[in-house]
Amino acid sequence: MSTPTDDLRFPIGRVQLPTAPLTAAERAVYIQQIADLPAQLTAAARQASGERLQLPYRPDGWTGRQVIHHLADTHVNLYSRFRLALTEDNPTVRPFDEAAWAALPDVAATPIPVSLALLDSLHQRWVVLLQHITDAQWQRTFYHPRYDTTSTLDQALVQYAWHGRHHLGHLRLLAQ
Amino acid sequence: MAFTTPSDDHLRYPIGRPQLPTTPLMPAERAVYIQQIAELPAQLAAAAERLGEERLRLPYRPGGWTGRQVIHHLADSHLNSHCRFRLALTEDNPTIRPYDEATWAELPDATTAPVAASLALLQGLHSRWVLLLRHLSEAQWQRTFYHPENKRTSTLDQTLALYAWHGRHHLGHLELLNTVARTL
Repeated sequence: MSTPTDDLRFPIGRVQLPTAPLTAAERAVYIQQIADLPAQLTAAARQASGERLQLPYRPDGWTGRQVIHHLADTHVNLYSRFRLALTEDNPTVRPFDEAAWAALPDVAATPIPVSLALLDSLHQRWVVLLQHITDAQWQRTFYHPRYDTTSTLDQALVQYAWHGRHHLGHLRLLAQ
Repeated sequence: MAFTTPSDDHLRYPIGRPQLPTTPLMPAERAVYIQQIAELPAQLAAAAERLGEERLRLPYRPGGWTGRQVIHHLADSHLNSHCRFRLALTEDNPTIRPYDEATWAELPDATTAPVAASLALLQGLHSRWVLLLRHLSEAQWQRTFYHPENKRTSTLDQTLALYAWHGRHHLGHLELLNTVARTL
């Protein structure tokens, strides 16, 4: 059921994960979304400008600043999960406490452009990796112990492309 | 039993092996290591610039990684280390996630991507890491994590010393490569 709060929490809706292998054309769309994200975040952060980025995007939500640093921390982990799944058989990945990480002191102290630049370079490496993955490798899996789910790299690609655009939606809410 | 020949050791360990502290560091000692972490990205970028993309495709020793692989490895390794600090600061003696550094360095982006992305990644990552390190309290430096492959529990003080060494260790490989490349 959709509520007004849902529109703020999920500005682009919830993620729909594929249950069958993606086609090459579908993958290309998601990889492009990952490639485009850093520039879109930078544009949204510029639009929201300094002061608004200190505000939460919804009551009790993270500030724009926390959203951007969270994206850098999370995508570092998601990038690592792809590497683990490509080098080990169905590896168990390491969850982290995203709320506690967002409260660590560097999140308040680091200028926002530092994490935007980090995302830009991280996504460059990530996209080169994604472009080299073979059809067989897209069906490789990893296990997430907190959610008790096994995901294919196809499913992870869709989820992580969504994750970036989901938080981009939060920044765009702040820019309004 | 694993061993390395004396003739190989100076190539493998151009700055020697790491010396890990067994007691808490003093603030002045930590400041030295934090400064080494802060300076590394610019030093790597300067070394890569001197070598150029072509020479970065050469291994720094027979059978060793290429310069390019060294730089991509540093980005991958340090983003994992930064995560280990965050885990140790937000959980009690967490078990961290090891990874296979040899196979990671053989993934296609690590062998083919230009080094610029990883140099920029290290720049951004180290900026955040250094700001985190400068905010740690005395008590937090004694927080620990457990490495399930080495079966070792490390304090953040020990990890700081290890990763300040790790960056300079691989910087030493790039400097060796400069010497190797000049003799070709």
